Amino acid sequence: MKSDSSVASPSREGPVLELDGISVEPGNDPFSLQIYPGELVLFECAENFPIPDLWDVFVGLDQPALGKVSFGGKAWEDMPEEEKEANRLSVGCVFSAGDKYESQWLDNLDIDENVVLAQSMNPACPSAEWEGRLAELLRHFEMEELSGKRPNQVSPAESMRAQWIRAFLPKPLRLLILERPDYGLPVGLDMKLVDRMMAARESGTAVLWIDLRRSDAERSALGPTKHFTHLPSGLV
Amino acid sequence: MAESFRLDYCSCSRIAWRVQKNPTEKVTALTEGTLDLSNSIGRKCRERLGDLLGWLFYVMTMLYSFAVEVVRPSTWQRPVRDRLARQILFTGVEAAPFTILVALFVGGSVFVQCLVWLRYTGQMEFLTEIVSALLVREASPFLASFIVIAASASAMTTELANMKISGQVALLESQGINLFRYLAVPRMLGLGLSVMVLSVIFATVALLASAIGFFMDSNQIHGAFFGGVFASLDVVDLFTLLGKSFLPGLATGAICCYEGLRVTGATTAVPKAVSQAMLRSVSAGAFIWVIVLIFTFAL
Repeated sequence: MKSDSSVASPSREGPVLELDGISVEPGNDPFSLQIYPGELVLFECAENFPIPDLWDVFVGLDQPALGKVSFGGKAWEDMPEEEKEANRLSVGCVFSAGDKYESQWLDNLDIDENVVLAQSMNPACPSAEWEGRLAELLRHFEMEELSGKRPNQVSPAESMRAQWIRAFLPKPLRLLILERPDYGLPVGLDMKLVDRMMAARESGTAVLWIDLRRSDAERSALGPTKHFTHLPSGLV
Repeated sequence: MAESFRLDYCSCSRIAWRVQKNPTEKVTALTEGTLDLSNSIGRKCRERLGDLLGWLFYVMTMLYSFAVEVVRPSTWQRPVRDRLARQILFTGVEAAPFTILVALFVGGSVFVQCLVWLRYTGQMEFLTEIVSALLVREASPFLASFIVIAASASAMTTELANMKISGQVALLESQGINLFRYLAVPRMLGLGLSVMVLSVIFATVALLASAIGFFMDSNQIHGAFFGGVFASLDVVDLFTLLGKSFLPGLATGAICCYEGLRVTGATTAVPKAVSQAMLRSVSAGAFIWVIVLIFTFAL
C-alpha cells in the first residue's frame, strides 16, 4: 500500500474510522488506515479485491480476520447494539454493482422508499427535516423526483444517482463510503458528486472512496486526497 | 449427524461379526453393542434436545422482544406501519376468499355429521352446542392457522432467506436499521392479526353454512339455531378462539423470521429453511392449542 504525498492535514479531532492492522482475509498482509473528519481517502484496489468483506468490516457487521476497526474512537466489537445502529445511521454508503450487495436496494421496496428508509426508521429525525434535505439533494443532482419504480426497473445511471442521494441524506454525516460511485454513468466522474462531496468534507464528513485505478486527472479533480493503492498481490 | 449414523453402522457390524465368529460371546457382545448403541442414540438425542432447546430459546426471546417492541411508540415508524399493512393484505385479505370457501365446506360437513350421529343416538337437543363447540372452539382457529401457514409462512421464510443470501439484510444493517423492528415485528403482528381475523371469518361462515343446513332440515328439528349457538358459547370461548388463533399466528411469524434470517450460504439452503419453518410452525401451533385447551378447561 503506498501513500500519496498530497495528503490532507489530519484534523485535531480523532479519526472517524480507524483500521488497525487489519486483514480481511487470512493470509493477506495487514494494513492500517485512519480517516479523520473532512479527509478524503482514495482506496484503489484490484478488481478481485474482496470489497464486500471490507464493507462488512468498515460498518462493524463482521470482524476482520486480523486487527481491529474503530469508529469514532471506539472498536465496533466493544459497542452495544444500539450504539452500533446509531453510528451506522451517520454513515452514507454507495455500493457498486456486481458485488455482495448485488441489488444495492431492497427488492420489495420502490427506489423512493429505499432512499428514505433509514431516515424514516429513525425516530430521532423528524420527517420534515430529512424531506427538506431530500428536496435540496434532488435539486443539486438535477433530478425532478425519485423513481417510484422497483430497483430492477430503473437504469443503472438512475439507480446510481438515487444511491448518491441516499448516501448524502443522513445527518450528521460522519463518514461517506463511496464504492465506484460513478459506475454505470455515461459521463465518467460527475462533478456534481465531487462538489457535493467537497461540501460534505467542509462540514466535517470523512470520505472513503473505494475504486479501481483512477487517472491522475481524475485524482486531482477529487481535491486533496490521502491515496492508497492495494496491489493485486495483496502486498503493500 | 453423518458421523453418528456411521458410528451406529460400525457398532452394529461389529456385533454381527463377533457373534458370528464366537457364539458364546453372544451375550457380552450384544450387551456391549447395546451400550454402544444406547450411547450413540443418547448422543443423538442430546444433540436433538440441544437443538430444540436452542431453537425454543431463540423463539421465546423473539416473542419477548416482540412484546417489548410492539408497545414502544418509536417502533411504529412509517416503514414498519407500511410493512404491517402489506403483511395483513397479503396474509389476511388475500387469504379471505379461500378461507370462506373452506369454511362453507367444513361448516356444511360438520353439521351433516353432527345431524346424522346425534339423530342416530337420539340426542338431537345437543346439536347446536356440539356444532358451535366444534366449529368455534376447534375447527376455526385450527384451519385458519393451517391456511396461513400453507399460504404465507413459506412465502415469508423464502423472502427473508433470499434477502439474507442476496445481502439485503446486511444492507439494512449497514444503514443502522434495527432488523428485528423492521423485519420481524410487522410480520409477526401481521400474521397474528390475520390468523385471528380469519378465524372469526371462518367461524362465522361455517356457522352460517350450518344454519343453512339447519333451516333446510327445520321441519324435523325444532328450536332456533342461532339462539342455541349463542346460548352455548360464553366469554371463555371468545378468549379460546383468540388465544388459539392469535398466539399460533404470532409464533408462526417468529419461527418464519428466525428460520429465514438464519440461512447462510447458497440458495440451496432456502428450501430446507422453508420446510423447517412450516413443520415447526405446525408443531408450535399444536403446542399452543394444547396449552390453551388446558387453560380453557381449568377456567
